[in-house]
Amino acid sequence: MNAFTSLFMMTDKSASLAQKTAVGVYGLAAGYGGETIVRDASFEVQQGERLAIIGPNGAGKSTLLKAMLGLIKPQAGSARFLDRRFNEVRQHVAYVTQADDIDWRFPSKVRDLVAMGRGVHLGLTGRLSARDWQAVDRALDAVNSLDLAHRPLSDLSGGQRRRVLLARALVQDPQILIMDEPFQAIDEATRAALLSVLDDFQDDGKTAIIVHHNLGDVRALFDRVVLVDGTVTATGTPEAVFDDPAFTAAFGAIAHRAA
Amino acid sequence: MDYNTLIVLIGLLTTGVLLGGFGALVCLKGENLTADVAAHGVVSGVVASQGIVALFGLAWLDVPLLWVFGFASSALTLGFIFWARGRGYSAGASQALAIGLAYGVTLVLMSLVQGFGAFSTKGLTTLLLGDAATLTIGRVMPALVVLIIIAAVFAVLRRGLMNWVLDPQSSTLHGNQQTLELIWIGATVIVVLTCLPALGLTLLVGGMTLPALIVRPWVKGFVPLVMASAIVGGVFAMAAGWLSAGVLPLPTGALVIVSLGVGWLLSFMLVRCLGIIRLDHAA
Repeated sequence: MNAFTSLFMMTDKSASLAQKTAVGVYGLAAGYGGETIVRDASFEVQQGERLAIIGPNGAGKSTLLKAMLGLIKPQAGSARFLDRRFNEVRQHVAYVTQADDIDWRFPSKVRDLVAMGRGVHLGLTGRLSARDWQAVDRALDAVNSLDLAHRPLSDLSGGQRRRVLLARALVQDPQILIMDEPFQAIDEATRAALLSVLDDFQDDGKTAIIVHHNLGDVRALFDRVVLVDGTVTATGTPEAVFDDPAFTAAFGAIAHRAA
Repeated sequence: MDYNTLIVLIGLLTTGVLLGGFGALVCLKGENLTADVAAHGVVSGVVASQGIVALFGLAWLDVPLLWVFGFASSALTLGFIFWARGRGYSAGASQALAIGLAYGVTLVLMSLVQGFGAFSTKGLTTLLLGDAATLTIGRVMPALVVLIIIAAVFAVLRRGLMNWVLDPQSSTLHGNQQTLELIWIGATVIVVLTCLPALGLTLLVGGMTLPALIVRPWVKGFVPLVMASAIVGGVFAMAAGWLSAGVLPLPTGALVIVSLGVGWLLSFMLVRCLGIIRLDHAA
């Protein structure tokens, strides 16, 4: 048990987590206003894997994530988490949104925002206990942001916002972490903090699915890759996906050489 | 101070606290116009209830019917906004559609109802501008009950509400979105209906928005903001009522809004003078 595991020893582990497939996406189609942005997307992620979802701008990566989580209604297909529907295991799945999806002018302190992550275990009316608050502080510590705990949200820089959002996800104590471009426009310190947390997360046998843009470090950071270009056009190890003709079709020959 | 003035002041205090507190949530959620739509949505129900009372001679059911129809029409109007948003319309387009429909239905109903003399011009003026000076204990008591219930609901749900207002996506992932939306629609309509007699529908949104704007630059926390806004709303409403009763014989509702407007201007200028940069009103 590493330091990260010891942060959270309080949540209900009643749901059986013995399944090997952490996430399964089967024929998923989704879009906005009747338009289909991603269609017939299928792939599986095994427990303990760190998977990158890559694809050119507008390929439907974020749309795919949102459809998997039910944030937008799928037009077809389904997604399973730990072999169940999302509604049945929502406390085991955390989503780190893009930082600009949040109103950072909201009158609140960092600690209160992170505490929101415990809400999925407490329901609408549950009260945060002293142990919940301890978990909040430990999650902030895990992302090297404990010093931000009592700062107003409006005071945070871009990198700090990403760390705080990750802390909010971690305090949920999830088995599956889904992140939308967490490495975009962050400094080296923040990047190191995020990677350290992800390493600990993976060491615990937990699963991470991350929309990622920088093709240059995919090999170093991820076990497997899903290439999205309107649909899932390739899956496999980074090497296999980079050598797939679908990769060149999506990004062009220059990106192929860079990757 | 005579008994009637005291009742009016208590009524205004209740109205101000209710509008100020709920208005802080409305402002933070950026739903000011939705509250306005709710207020306008009430009118078609009120007109319909008056028509039924006149048509079937149900004068003894006047007030209950007014509440039921006002609530139903306003809730339907708000429900329409959420429905339209769910179909991909923007927040502004959904509000515009809803308010257009509410106006259209109201005018058609009003034309029909006026045909059998059920809706007087004075009644319409009261609905539009309010009539705080005529508040009775019968109208103030329900407002007090509503205030206590809304405060209790806020105390229980404040964490979930904060999550929902700040990050609706997260609230959806937690499975709370639909429940909170229903509570929100119900609470908006109830607050609007409760406060209509004092301020009228044209002044209502001002009463909801201005207290939150006054305190927003000075308060950093979610719950403190809601409470400060409620206190400011209550104090200004009661002070304006007191002025209206004695010193300045002007319409009370209008005086409440004008005094809140002056309060906002002073707050705004003070923020600038003191160099407080956070003018993030989120309204």
